[in-house]
Amino acid sequence: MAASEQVGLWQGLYYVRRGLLWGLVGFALGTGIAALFRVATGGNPWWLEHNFTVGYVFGLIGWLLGVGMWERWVKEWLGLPTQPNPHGWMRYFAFTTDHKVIGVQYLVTFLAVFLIAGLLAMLMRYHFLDSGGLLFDDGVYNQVMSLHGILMIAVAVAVIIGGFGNFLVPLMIGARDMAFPRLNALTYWLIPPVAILLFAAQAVGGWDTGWTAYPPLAVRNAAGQLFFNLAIITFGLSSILGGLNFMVTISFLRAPGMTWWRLPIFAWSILAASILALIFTQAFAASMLMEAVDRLAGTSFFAPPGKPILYQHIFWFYSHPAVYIFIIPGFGILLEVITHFSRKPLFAYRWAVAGFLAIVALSGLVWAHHMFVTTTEVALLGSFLVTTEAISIPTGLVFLSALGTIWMGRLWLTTPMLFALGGVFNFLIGGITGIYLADVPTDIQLSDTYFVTAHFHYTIIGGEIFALMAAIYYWFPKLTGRMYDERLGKLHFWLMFLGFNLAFLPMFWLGLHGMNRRVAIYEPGLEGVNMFVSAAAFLMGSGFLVFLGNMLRSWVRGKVAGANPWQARTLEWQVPSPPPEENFPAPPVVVGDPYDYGVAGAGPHVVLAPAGGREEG
Amino acid sequence: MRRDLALAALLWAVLTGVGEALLVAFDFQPSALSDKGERIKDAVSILAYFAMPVLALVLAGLVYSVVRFRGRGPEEEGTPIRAGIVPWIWLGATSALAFTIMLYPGLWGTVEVAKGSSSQSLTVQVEGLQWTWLVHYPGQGLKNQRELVLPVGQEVTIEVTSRDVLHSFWVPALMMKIDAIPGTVNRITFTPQEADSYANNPLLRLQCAELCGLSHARMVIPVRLVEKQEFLNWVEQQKR
Ligand code: HEM
Ligand SMILES: [Cu+2]
Ligand SMILES: [Cu+2]
Repeated sequence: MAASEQVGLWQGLYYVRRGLLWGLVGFALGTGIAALFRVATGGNPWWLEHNFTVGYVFGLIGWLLGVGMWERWVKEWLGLPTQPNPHGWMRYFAFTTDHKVIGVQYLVTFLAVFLIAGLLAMLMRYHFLDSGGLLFDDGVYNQVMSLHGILMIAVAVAVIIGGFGNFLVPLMIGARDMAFPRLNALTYWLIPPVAILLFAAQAVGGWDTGWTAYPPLAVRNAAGQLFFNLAIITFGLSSILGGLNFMVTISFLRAPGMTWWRLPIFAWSILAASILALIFTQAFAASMLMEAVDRLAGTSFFAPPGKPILYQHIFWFYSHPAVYIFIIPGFGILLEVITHFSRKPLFAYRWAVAGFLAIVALSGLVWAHHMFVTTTEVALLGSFLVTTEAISIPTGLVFLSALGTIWMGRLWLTTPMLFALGGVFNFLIGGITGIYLADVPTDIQLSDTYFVTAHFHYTIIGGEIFALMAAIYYWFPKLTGRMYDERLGKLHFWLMFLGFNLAFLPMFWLGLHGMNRRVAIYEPGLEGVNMFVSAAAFLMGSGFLVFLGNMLRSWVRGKVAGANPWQARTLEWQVPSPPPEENFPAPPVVVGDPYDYGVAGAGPHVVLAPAGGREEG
Repeated sequence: MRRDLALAALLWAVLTGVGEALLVAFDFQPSALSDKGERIKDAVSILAYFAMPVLALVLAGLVYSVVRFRGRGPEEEGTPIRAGIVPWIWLGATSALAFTIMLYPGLWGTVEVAKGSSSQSLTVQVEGLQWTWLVHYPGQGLKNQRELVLPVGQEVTIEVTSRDVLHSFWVPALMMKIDAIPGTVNRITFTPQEADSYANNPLLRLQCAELCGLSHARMVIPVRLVEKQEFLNWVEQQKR
């Protein structure tokens, strides 16, 4: 493969270039067809939103074929010979079926999105140094806030499942690849059009409805809203297919001996999140579609005389379970990292799994807690209060497992472990403050204030993103074959942990003192606290410069890590770093529990057969 | 192990004690100027009292373990412990706590706060539109006011609706919020408690709390709580 390693930049980007070209051709074709249709029916051919929508659908298909779905999938349907995956670095820029390549594609893409959206957050915090706003006028603020919100939501949905789920799950369960490798590639290549749409929307005025897109506003605002809806439908499709793929993979491709109770907790968490993604994302896509049709075709599902509140029921029916799609994989990482670095078996492992599954079961029954101020109907308010607070019980089991694991352990405080312990603390604050929003009386005052902003940043950044950082440091040697710089890692942790808590803790106070969310200006009396919040946010932001520097430098020049620098027992650490394309020379056989550190007489978790060993025997 | 448990429990008790003491000593909320607002404010405090031992427990567990159970590398291994009945106890305790707060302040408070109007209620209609509020007093024959004036000690029922997109009626000082939905009238009832005004208290403002487009942040009108007689005078004045 030495020759293909040396392809030039232009040649290496062949598939992406072709995808863009075919996408443009498809877009032109679709727009043209829509225009012709309009002319044929005697209308103005440039009915922009309609033309654009049809153009987008054709363009999306052109893009997918162009990036390589054509050679590696569609040709087969036509009875033509398909072509194998490209090699070398070029495979990262093409429709490739290797789950490890797809994992890295997801991870790098969403980290880039995360940093861009983080930059927008820094701009917003700069804006808030003055109560009248320093940087944006009202419209631009709404636009920037909305973009930050949806980009971060997309990161939260996909970065762990798409990145680490893809890279690790087949390795952890001893599989050769995902159950549907081509479907897997499709889920990734649906993402760039989503990003393109969301950024392109800014050119036509963006949209000003946050990430929640409530009608009637979302049916009558600028065209950017339509871009948003199309993007979210596409993104939803990607999540649904991904969820299906993980469920099938974890259910059917486990290596011999990998019983359910030997499954690493991270794989369990991905399974739980996949169930949610498969079931609930459809409601999300449906709400976006109905809203788009209200806009394009004059239906009135939600726009008067339809029911605007109906939208919220459908939307939150997905979007509450979605927060568990974010956080359960985060829990999985926290527990995984904590057990390896406590050098002790995972405490109450089956209870933690039961906790995940109970959260999955309950999460579909709590959506209307986002709607406590839409009505005074006690039957609705009371029942959703009860179901929502009930979720704290299975969530508590995750805390039990974490605390029981560190108790009497030998905590090895590496960077990933620091992030994991920090994540447990942060999520505790997020969880406790969630009770205030589940309790109807207090939510009446606190809904749509900075209390909510603080709460969900505590759960998403504090829980999930801290878990993500733990995962990045923990598996960095596996992904790259090299070690990161531990000192810079710890510096990043402290900047982020302190910056985060100093920035977001005072926001609870701001909410209690009457600062509502999604506002471009605020009461002058709150300026002092807001300046403090901004300063702390900049501190946190600076942590990411350290992170980025450390990652880039270590990827190129870090010291070689070897297969198992942490001396961890799970399967992914028993293969070379980075793992070979075929994962295992022969199917591994699982013979013991994954976390039996310090257990007298415990055998290994897995026996790896040498290449060809099984065929001979 | 015994000793560790005892010390961690002590740490938990101390943290809980200090936390609860701080909650009692400092009022971290602004004052509530309506009867139901006072209920809500109490609920915030009660939940904080309940939360403190939970916060302290996890904090104590984390801090104690990080300080006491350090290792320097993968060679040092922890002492495996059997879960035994601990998860059952944990499940029982967390369930008991969850069910308690569901009942009180949860359901109890929900019923209190959602209580409807009596026959003595003063009806005020509030209409949201991009990007301001219009206040009507049907019983007094007043329309299209740009200020919400309410008599102290008088039960009022606000009928909230919208002309265009979603908005939300919110007066932070009253701690009352309800969405303004086109095609629907939402009602909330409460009794203002103390005379005060926006000029003096920035929380006495009728602020839109649902993102409604361009000038959402500026969708604010002043609120004034006045004695009953003053209210009547104000009505007369506006009529002229
Ligand atoms: C340093 C880090 C961050 C800062 C300083 C920050 C700051 C902000 C600010 C100022 C807002 C606007 C609040 C408003 O006007 O209501 C906001 C909204 C939001 N942020 Fe962040 N943010 C950060 C990171 C994140 C992360 C990591 C996520 C998720 C992964 C996230 C998700 C959101 C969401 C979903 C919204 C709501 C948008 C909406 O209301 O529709 N943020 N953030
Ligand atoms: Cu929710
Ligand atoms: Cu508004």
